[in-house]
Amino acid sequence: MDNQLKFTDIISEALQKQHRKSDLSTFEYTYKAEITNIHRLTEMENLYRIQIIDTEERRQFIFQPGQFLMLELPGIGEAPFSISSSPARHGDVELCIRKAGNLTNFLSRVGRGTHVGIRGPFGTNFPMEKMHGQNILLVAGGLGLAPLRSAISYAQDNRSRFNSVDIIYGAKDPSQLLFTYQYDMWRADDIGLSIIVDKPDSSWKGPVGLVTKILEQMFSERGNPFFKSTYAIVCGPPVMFKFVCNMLNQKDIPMQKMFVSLERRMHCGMGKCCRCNVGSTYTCLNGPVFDYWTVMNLKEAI
Amino acid sequence: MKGDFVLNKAHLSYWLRQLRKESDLIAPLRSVDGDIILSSVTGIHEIELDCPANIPSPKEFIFPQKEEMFKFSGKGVDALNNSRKRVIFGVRSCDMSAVALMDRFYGGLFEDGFYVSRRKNTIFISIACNNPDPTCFCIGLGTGPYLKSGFDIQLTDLGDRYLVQVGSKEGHAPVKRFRHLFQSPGKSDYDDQYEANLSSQSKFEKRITLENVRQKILAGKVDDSFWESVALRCFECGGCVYECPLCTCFNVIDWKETPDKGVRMRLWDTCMFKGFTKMAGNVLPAEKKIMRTKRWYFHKLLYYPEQFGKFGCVGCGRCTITCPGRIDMATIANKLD
Repeated sequence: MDNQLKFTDIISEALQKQHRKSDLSTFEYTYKAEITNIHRLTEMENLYRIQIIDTEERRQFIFQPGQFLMLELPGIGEAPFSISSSPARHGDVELCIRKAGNLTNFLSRVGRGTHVGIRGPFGTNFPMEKMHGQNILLVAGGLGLAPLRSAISYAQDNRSRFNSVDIIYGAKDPSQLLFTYQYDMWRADDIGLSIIVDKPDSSWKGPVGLVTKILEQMFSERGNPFFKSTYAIVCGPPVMFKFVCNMLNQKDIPMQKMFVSLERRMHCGMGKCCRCNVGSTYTCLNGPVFDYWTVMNLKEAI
Repeated sequence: MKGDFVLNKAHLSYWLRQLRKESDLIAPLRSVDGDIILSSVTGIHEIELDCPANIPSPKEFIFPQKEEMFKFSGKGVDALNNSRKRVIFGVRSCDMSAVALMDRFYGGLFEDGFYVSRRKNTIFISIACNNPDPTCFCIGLGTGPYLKSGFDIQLTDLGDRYLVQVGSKEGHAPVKRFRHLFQSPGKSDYDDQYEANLSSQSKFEKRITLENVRQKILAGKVDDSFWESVALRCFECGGCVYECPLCTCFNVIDWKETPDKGVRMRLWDTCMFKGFTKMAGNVLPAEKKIMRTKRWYFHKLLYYPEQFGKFGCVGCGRCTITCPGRIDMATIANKLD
């Protein structure tokens, strides 16, 4: 045993790097990047593959699931987006972006090869290391699947470290389902995936309703011991947080083991522009990932 | 590098003239239309020493209303730098305390490069207040009329001379360079300063302790109906925020000169405006006016003490003069106290 290399030491050093609070040089810097591909997911959402041009910088770009970055287009503006690719891909990130505002509408019109700037990564992350050896339950609603996809990819990459991984995904109608091409891949990786839509069309064969319906089913199928060793990540519209988290809380998942990702307007990512604060908590510094206990103690957060 | 000195009043203009030679001197001047504003000094004799407390705050010199961050063109991006040395003379104690708190806000945790580079090149010469205005209430907050710390150079008017106190490393250079103008202080100088301080303190008309207000809000004794009545009177003009020496929110915009050339700049912004927190898809976390007015007061009364141990108000009384709806900090504090 003695002549084994201590890999853990090397890993922990690398992990410390992502705690950007101690590393000031990483966030001031804007990486030059290029949109290498645009994948059309639905009518409104596109998946952008963005690659940092410098190979060395690309390799050194480390982020954790749940963190976000600032995407900037000179002349158009800058906006925060959560990263939806696997952390193993380093500076070869994927962003799932919906056409909703000025910058995103412009983005929907650009083609491959457009040069953009990225700053980051910012914010807190889902504590995936803490979840090792436990079950994880990922509940997504609508576009909330975008930040969760990073956690799902992490679970795919480190499948041996988790017991059971389940995704519950709800969307308005079947045409708005994101990442449809990946569902089979997730299932093949032994990740339970249940999809539910609110307004089905004629071709839809799956369940109809809200994500809470699937949760109830799950509660009746699996016993309390399962939920005792479960971490939950919930991401979706703010209305969803309350219902889902309260349901999970009734099943003995403590609030500290439930994580949500909040959304606020941001301009700096450094806690200076004062837009994203909920109470005295800055979403860009202490968030966007909060445990549910913290969120409950923040007034007017959800 | 702290120290106290005495400067004869006759030597003040010579000292300032020498300082102007090596840096940009900014002081309260009377503009053409009669208002007193802080601006670049051309003639030393034009400086208004007896100006009211409520001239526009010096925050615009370290956190400008419109700050160009960088220029971009089709070829690439040019960073802009601010390395102009500046001396700001004639700042009041309240504004000086506001700058000290802003240093902690912009310099702490994540250093803001634009602010820090400006602040590094700026020396403040503050004058301890002998004539507080009726709207001033810095005495209840410990931010005036005389400062014990948190200044670069503080002058105290003692009739025929000034007591010059150096409170920071940066403030030492302008005194050390002209050491021949300054004498060492004696006991009588300190006695005179003590007396001037007492007489200044007696002139305050408003006695407000924000701590009582904070305790009341924390205890939940102020309900939403009170804030509703405050919000009803708010015009959403943003005057309180623009005038406040401690309001630091900004907006970032890209301004295009031509289709492929432009500037990214940041501008002062106001949390009283509805679009302040507007997110993609027209989602507004603070949709109602009551949420926005409450946010401003809570930020100053609750969140600042939580983060920095100090109130986000220095008692300068600018909002009292500016607010058309009479819902300024002093009035609200008086009502809740």
